[in-house]
Amino acid sequence: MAVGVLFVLAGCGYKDIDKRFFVVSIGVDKAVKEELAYTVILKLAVPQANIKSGAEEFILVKEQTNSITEAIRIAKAKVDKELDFSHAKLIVFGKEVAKGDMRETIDFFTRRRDIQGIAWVGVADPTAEEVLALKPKSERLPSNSLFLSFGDTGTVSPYIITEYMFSFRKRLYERGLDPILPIIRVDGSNLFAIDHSAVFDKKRMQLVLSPKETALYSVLSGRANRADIKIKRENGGEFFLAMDESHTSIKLKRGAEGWMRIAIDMEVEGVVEEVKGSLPANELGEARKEAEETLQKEALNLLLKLQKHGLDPFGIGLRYRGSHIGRSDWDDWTTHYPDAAFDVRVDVIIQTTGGLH
Amino acid sequence: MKPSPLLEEIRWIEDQLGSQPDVVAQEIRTGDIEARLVYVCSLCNEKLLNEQVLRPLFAIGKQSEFESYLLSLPRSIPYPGKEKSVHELMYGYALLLAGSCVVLLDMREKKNSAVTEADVEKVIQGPQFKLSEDLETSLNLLRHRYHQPSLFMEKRRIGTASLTEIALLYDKKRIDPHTLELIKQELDQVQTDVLFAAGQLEKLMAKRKRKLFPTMMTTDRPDRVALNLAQGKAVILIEGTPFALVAPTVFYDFMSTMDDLYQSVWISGFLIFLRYLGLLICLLVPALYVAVTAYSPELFRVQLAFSVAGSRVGVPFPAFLEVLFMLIMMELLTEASVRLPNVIGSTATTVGGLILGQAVTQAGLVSDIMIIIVAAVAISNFVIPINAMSFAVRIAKYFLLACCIGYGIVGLVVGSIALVAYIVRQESFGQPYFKLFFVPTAKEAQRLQGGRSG
Repeated sequence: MAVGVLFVLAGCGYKDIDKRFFVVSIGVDKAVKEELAYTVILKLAVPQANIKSGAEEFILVKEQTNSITEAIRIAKAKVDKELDFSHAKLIVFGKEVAKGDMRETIDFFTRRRDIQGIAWVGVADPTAEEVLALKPKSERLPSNSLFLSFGDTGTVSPYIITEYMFSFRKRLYERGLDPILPIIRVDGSNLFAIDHSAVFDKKRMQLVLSPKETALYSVLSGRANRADIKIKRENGGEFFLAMDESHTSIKLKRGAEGWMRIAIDMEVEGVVEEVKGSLPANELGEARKEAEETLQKEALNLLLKLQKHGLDPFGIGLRYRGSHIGRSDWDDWTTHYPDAAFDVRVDVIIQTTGGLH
Repeated sequence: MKPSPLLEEIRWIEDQLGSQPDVVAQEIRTGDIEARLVYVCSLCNEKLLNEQVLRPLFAIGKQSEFESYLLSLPRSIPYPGKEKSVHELMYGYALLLAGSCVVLLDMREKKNSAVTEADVEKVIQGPQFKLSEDLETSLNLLRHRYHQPSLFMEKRRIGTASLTEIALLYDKKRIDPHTLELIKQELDQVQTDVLFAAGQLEKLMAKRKRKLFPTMMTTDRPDRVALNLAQGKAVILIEGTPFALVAPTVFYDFMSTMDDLYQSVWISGFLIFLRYLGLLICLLVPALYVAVTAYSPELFRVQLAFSVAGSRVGVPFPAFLEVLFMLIMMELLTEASVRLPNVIGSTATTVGGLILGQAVTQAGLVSDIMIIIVAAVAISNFVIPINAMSFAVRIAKYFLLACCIGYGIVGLVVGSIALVAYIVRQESFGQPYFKLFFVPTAKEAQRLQGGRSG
């Protein structure tokens, strides 16, 4: 009897895999027409019997409508196979859309059960259409190079911020933890350039971080533990420190008078990768000190910049709320964060000077 | 002179046998002995008869001395009555009436007692020969592997026409008396005209006739039989087939080979793991293919989804027809190569496997991935060591496939649960079928001990 009921419940019907159109990525741009809200672009993969590099085929379906739902309904009528969103692993918002109300835009994607919560989200500069239309030479399957960029299977880079949809939505709503998304640009030479990032407040894009800041954010937030930092030496030379291991801890201290200090401890282990000028082994101690100072300065700059804009992609506010009891915790945080002092301590260990001795 | 009642009975027996060309009924006279010898010459060893009976007969020449010679001959058994004697004559006994003494002499000769290499269950390094078709030879092989006075044997005859001799063997010290009782009961209720094979006897002994999974093991390896005897199981040897039946057996037994015992721990562990992997592949892969491609392609990673979709481009059938089509082709191929003589067998596999497989993808009737799946299923099915289980699994996979065609992944889950429930419900002579290892736990061993003393 129970088994019988289960069979009745078995959901969606039989539809062969070759009778489905897989939507690999979805782009949302501002509509060209004034009165409409969005241009929705669906990138449909066209499966091929022989998969060859650079010979991928896809269809871009573009619809201008007021809502994403409508756009998809219309798109469905245009294609000959069932649209399948189960592999829609990438959602790209055009820059203009990102400047609008993101809570509203993302609603559709979080409600659809067939779009996975682990889809990657990014901001396209200038438009999502341009990003989706690009066909990199190395690609064998549509959108695969972006999947590889964001996933752990392909390249791993501190410049690429990886953000899942569920996490993006959480950050849009959670007080004390602000969203940050990668910015995807099309580099003229048939490649994607993903090295900037966009920090949002609870609604729209507020601040763009440079590649250097993005990498530092990745390291400080624990998203990446490998990055390269350029360190200028006092004697005029410079060297690059390739981090192998890094660990950051954030602590909050509050005084009775209301002051607040945010203590950030950073431990970095790395090797010297490239030296301009000279770096003899006996100067390693100094080099280490210089590296600590550089990192400390850069981290402080990033934190102050975010503080100035009232943004908090590290989730320090959430940490504050988590460690302080009381109804007024959020109000306390918002009043004190703008003039909280940062206390950054960096501890660098240089393991070797590289393969040269 | 009125003939003695014994002579009357002999004449009656001769009448029963009729005047067949191979029935010998001979009058012998020498000295004061007046004897009559009856036997079926196609069943008897006449040379032995000549050496052990006829020559001494003429050499002794005295009634009383010859009588005592006959009675002390180990091959002689006392006269069991006329009806029984007819049966015994049909097994190769010779009936000898000398004066007032009647005996049956065991003069059986079997031409099928050759011991040949084991070819159904092969092991790499282990005993290489299988049981014989001749019961006595098989017993000889077994006794030589299991030197225990506690090895008990009961002989029976089954089949109203074939009267096949079977021997029930067990180690009295080790077997669970309850199990033995059950086996005997089942043997008692067997009714058939002819009995030629172990699988046939298993089917006849089963209470529920329509079962999918075998509950008794069929094996022709003397080492496996001896091992099972030592594990406290009963073995039934059947005259005329090298295969023995072992009961009770649990699921795990069907997945084990004798190599597990002969190889080192890690190797045999790996082999067992491979076998269970093969079982799962064989059961689940066709069903999963249908469920995932047609119901939930999100389970594939995106790259795989596209290559599956790509390879299915241009295939005119839905996935389930494709799977069914190829699976049935594969079954036909397997079946054909079993039945064909060895000489033609290789042609069948070449035509079927290579040419058909290649052509069918080129014609676009079946996707490349499907060919891989079918090949994987076929190969992994052969990994299951006991043939009967291998067949059962071959059929069970269609059940799971049917569930998946209708209901996708949910069907697979429910189907698997149903299959497991079905197997769990099975029982082999009082032993739960899905019990993983047959070796009794300490608690059970205690119970067994108690049962025996009580």
